[in-house]
Amino acid sequence: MPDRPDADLTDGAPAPEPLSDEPGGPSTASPAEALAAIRSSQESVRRQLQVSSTALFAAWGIAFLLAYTALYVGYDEIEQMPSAWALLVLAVCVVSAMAFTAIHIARRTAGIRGQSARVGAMYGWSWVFCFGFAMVIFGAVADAGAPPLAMSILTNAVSLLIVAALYMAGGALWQEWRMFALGAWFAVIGSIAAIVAPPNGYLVQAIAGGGGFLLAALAAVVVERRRS
Amino acid sequence: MTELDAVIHAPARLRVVATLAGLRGGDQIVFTRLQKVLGMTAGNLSTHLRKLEDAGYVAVEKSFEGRKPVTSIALTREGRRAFETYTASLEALLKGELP
Repeated sequence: MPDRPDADLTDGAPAPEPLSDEPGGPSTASPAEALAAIRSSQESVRRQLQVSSTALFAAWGIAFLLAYTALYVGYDEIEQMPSAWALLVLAVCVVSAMAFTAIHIARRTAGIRGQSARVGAMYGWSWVFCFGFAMVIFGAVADAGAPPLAMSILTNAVSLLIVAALYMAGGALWQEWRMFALGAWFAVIGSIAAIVAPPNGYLVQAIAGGGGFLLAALAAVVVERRRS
Repeated sequence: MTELDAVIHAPARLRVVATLAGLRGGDQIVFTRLQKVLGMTAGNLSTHLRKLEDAGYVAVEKSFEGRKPVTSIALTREGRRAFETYTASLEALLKGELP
């Protein structure tokens, strides 16, 4: 193998091979070059192997904003519930944001085994089971004869209760304070929305809920910039 | 302080170690993914991993997922400590604290 100078240390691009770092060979990178190589490796880990809170918060922020605006605009005063098209917008937004989340996490964590994969799987199943439980509650309460307005308040409040609880738990799990703060924020705006009641409660959630996510995404960008 | 760790202070191995140090504690990465992240050939990466393994810095685990053999790699505790010492030495060198 012919030797090459170690100049490729300075950039983050995949190193051409063969590399001349056999023992006794010229490993002459300066401390500054070596530190730059470490930084660029850390940056590539962040870009390729770590889940981006910014991307997820932004996706859910947009979904919240669109869905709750639709619920507010499309609220049927006579039926005392959102009209069919508004519910369809809600469903599309939630499914899209869920798909985005799943694909993003699957791509970033592909090939990573061990503790965080187990923790992530348990956390994912928590969402599935909690929302499954919520659906059962909604069905049972509707069957018991709850009026549409009560159902609108209940479905919304219980959903937000789950989001708030799991976001706060997730924040604690990964020591991610933005996620924890978002969870606490959802508990507050969920309470306000329940008191205000639909359709104005939906507007509260569109602005404060969607806005909260987008603000958290912005905070994440600022923090990531400062780190690099 | 002693001089820079020769096992880590080699361009390709430094990138391997810095990348592995970016994983959360208790996590491993499969060989093929690490290869993709680093943009190295399998042969080249294997050679460097073997050197890191010989130094006790990297743990390589072979297992099966179904019928497919999977090689998982992680930094050992010694490896993480060596990387931290190495980084601290570099910073000290840059500040002119070391000769």
